Amino acid sequence: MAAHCESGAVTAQLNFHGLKITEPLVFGISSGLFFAYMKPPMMDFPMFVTRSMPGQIFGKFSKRTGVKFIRKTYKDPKEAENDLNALLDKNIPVSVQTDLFFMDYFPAWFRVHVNMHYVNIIGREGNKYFVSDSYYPEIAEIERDALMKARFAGGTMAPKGLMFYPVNVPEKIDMGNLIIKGIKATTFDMLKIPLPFLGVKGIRRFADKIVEWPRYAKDNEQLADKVLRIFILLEEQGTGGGGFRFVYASFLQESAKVLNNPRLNELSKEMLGIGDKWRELALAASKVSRSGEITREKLIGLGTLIREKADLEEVFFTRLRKEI
Amino acid sequence: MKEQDLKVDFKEQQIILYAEKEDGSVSPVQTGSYISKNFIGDFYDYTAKINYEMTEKLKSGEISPICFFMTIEELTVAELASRAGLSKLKVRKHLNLKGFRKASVSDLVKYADSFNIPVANFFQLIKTREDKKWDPGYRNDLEKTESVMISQTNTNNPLIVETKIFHNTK
Repeated sequence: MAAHCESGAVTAQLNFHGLKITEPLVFGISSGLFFAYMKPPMMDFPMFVTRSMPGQIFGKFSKRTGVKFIRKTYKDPKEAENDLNALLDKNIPVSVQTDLFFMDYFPAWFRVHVNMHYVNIIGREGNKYFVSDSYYPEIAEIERDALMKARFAGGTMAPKGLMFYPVNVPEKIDMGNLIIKGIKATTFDMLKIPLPFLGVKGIRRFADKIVEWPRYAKDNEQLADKVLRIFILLEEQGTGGGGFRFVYASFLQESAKVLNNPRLNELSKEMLGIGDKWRELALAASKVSRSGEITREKLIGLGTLIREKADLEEVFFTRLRKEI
Repeated sequence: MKEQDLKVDFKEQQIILYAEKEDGSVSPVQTGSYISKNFIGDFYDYTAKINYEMTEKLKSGEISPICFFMTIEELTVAELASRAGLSKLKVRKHLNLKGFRKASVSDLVKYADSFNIPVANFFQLIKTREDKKWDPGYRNDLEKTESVMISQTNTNNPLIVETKIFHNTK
């Protein structure tokens, strides 16, 4: 298991091929930590994300480290299947992008239509594939038909049969340099992108806009469900807790050792504290969701908690940027 | 967040969280899901309410089966249109019964694939019985009651599914 599907899949691949690396290092080097608040046209309700765009952890890791991945998408599902089978028959595990809804080894209540779920396919037998899924405690099995549907589901960020696997993985990489690159990119993303819904500005937008949520909900029950999802998105939808802030704290702790910089250790502890604050927000949201009518005052209260995170992270990332 | 503060006993859903351990390291901890353990009842209540409301609307002819499944699978018109490879205009027309009657079989196959149900389930409601309460069930969602199990198996004909209802003798 791993904290997050994409970083978990990439980490497992790298370790399989001989590069000893942890998930926090993969996540931090690829500057996975982020924040965005938006209402995409295809969605009925606003949403927020706490990491970079799906696919960027693998993409940026590859670009920054020089570890070469073979990456392919397909128009023809049969061709995709044949290529996957050929690799598996050579004992080469393959990472694929899927729609979580079709991964039927999970219970029905867990499965939602989300096209950005990455897993490693590690073998096959007859019509069955063996899956190493970051969110499942054992090796899972999935039938051919279900996997094909998962790999070729349509909709937002459709997988299009995407698969990737590393080739020529070195035993060691210049970790120090990569950590610095990753931290610089993250601090830029959180502080400097001149768009009001991204980074720290995005957290402030979330704080301001949450009071408008009732106009998107058909009734109080749906609104309560959406408020509860704040908890799920922050804590349990593959973030490692605190909207990836705890994973990032672990990354900074490892970075302190690699760079022999004790100040990064202190910043790691500060990030742990920030993660705790996000968790407090998540718990507050879960309580509000169960509190009967979701009033404007309750949403303003959540907005205040969210704005506090923006202030903390602005200070934190400014300090972190100066440290590197 | 300390390791001991976040451990939850819930085997049905395990997750990895990062926490500070006793030795001061921030590392992965496997734990049960807090939200699932404490809110699964709320989730089932909310889902059951939606399912019930939509089932009644479906039975009364207020909505079409497409609207029914689109709602319970939490898809928007735009998302469903993209997944099914149909225009948004067409999907909107199919949301009511009048428009649904004009849907072609190939449209229904596309919708069924998107919803991950057999085409047959657009034309029937399969119910299971649990504690004297009837709940709708559908493919890939085996309702395990004390006495009855349902399974739906594809056949080589993409329009025909074999629905088996049998007593659980275990």
